[in-house]
Amino acid sequence: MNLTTAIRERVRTWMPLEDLLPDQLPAFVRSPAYFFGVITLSSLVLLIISGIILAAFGPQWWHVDPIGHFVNSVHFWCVQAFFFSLALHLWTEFFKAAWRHGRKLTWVVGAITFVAAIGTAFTGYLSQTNFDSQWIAVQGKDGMNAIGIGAFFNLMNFGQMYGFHIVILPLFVIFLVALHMLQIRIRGIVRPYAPTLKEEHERESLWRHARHTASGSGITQSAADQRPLLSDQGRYYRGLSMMPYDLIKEGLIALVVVFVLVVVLSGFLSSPDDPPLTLQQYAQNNPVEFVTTALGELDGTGTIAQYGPPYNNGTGSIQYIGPISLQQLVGVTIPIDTAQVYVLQPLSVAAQTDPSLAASLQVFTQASASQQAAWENAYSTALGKATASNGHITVPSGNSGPLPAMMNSLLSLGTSGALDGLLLRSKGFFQNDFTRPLLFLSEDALPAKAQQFNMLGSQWGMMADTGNYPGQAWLWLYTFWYQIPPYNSSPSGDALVWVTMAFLTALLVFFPYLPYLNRLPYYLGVHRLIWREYYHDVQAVPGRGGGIAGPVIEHSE
Amino acid sequence: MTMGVLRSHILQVVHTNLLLHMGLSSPLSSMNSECATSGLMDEEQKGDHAMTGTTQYFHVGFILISLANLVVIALLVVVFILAVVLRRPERSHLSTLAAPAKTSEVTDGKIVQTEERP
Repeated sequence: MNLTTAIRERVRTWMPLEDLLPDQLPAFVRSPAYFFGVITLSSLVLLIISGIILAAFGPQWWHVDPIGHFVNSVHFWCVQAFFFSLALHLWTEFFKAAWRHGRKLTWVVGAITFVAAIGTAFTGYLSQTNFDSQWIAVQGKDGMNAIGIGAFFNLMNFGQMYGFHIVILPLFVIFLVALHMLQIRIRGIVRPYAPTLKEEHERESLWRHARHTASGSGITQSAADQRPLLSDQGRYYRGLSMMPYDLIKEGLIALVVVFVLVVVLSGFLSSPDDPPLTLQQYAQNNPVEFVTTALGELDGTGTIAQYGPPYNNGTGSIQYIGPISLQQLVGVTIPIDTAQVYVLQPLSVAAQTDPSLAASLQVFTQASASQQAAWENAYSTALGKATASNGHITVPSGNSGPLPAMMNSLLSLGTSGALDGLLLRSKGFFQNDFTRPLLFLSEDALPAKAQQFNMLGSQWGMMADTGNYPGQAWLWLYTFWYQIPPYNSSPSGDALVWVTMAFLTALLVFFPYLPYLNRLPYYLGVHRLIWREYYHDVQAVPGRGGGIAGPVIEHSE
Repeated sequence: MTMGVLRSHILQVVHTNLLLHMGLSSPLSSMNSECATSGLMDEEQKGDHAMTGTTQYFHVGFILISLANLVVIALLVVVFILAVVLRRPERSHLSTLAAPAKTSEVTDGKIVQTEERP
């Protein structure tokens, strides 16, 4: 057997150029409902081009340089255009039941593309390096952690998210889109529903069992060979009115239209880019809250200190799916000892040039655990009456031991900006993992700022963006669950949302395979509007009484 | 938020951004006052760009959606309805793709004889 010959013949059978690049299509495509696929594709092309430019010049460029910010705006509006047209494409294909006649896999690939595109966009929003990306990261981490993914897919690790966004996920989406288009061109566009279900069932039965290989290529002529060939569009469209069509021209027009649209939107409306929140800003603007948060990390009462996997062995945020906690099963993969990371280690660095601080630190670290706890309790109480001036916290005198001196030194590190750098410190030279500073800010500072933007989880925050810009509206269903019981009241709410969304996503992807349910579009009847000219033509043919379509509709206009 | 207020706000946002791009001041600069009072808001965020000002929201019961997202979703529905209702202009040059009969198949409700394309 010659493999080359076999593959060549298979390709020749499946993908004749006349079908891959047809110059005529069935006349039933005379509806704007057929535009959205090509608009989505055009948006994707522009997304890729603008994304390549952004990646080439880097984050500083798109934040600071006017041209960079303009390209960033083009990328932003391309995302909106992409999902806008993708949603419409999904809706119209659903109402056309485009999975009929042997096209179930085409739907499956398209639906997976939709899910993959959401992931790509999400990592893009995480890669903005602005306040929105900070907030999305700390908001989304709980969902990821609840199902164990957070241990490997860390939303607060900019380097990882950026890699996913500009390489791994786009390549996956491009592959899926190419496969999806190939499937459509090989099998052709699905025909309108037959006028009656009985006729539709006959056609479905015929084409569902269509052959994947041609006769005569090593396969003996048998009863099975009498079935139609799945890629035989000539036979599939037989009897239908055809119209001249220029796919390439349509694609180019769509590309130009989308380009003009996103350039105009970018020029007039720009794009959201609220600067990220820093520890320095937090320490300067809210010194008492900053020290209170730091004390919580030191005495182990902070949310992160008690969080649990993947950061530590706490139990404060462990979620369950039934009796199982995937979060615990995966374990601690991003270890963070909050007392060491946020207080003691930064102070030990500062103590190298500050003998007074070194002495205070030594007193604290050499004290017994009970003594440390007593100081921490006393200082925590005193913080309730703290006053701040000139970057210094003053608390009523009490038995807080060396803590006032230590915390004022930490506040100095914060206000000077040194703590921002110290928390990014790792063994490597390049730093792009913002997990530690973001977790610290997630205790108080980020939620406080997010509330001003109405971006809290209870405010449908995940689908919102800063300012008056559209956000990730495609996350509406994911965000919706967080607003209603039991999701918004359960301690395992994130895990419940993810299980629900996994079920619904599977439902979307495998909808064509669900018996009875996959006939829903027929009963909804929207297809009768989309293809009304087709049905009108069918009924208009003499001798086809009762609305039953005949085999051939002659047109010679 | 009534439809009138909603429409008025959209017009204001567009108007303000047009003014800004022409280098003129905007009457909407007061929109940012709420955020600017916070210690966590940067000076850069206190600008008078209407799109970066205080987010406008539509709030009914537990539904809280930004005006921008609401506009996008409303546009989606409108465009979908238009796409279903409107027609494309092409109507001429229709032809029929016919093939000689050979084996049984279903075409628009009738079993007919056809033949595979060579």
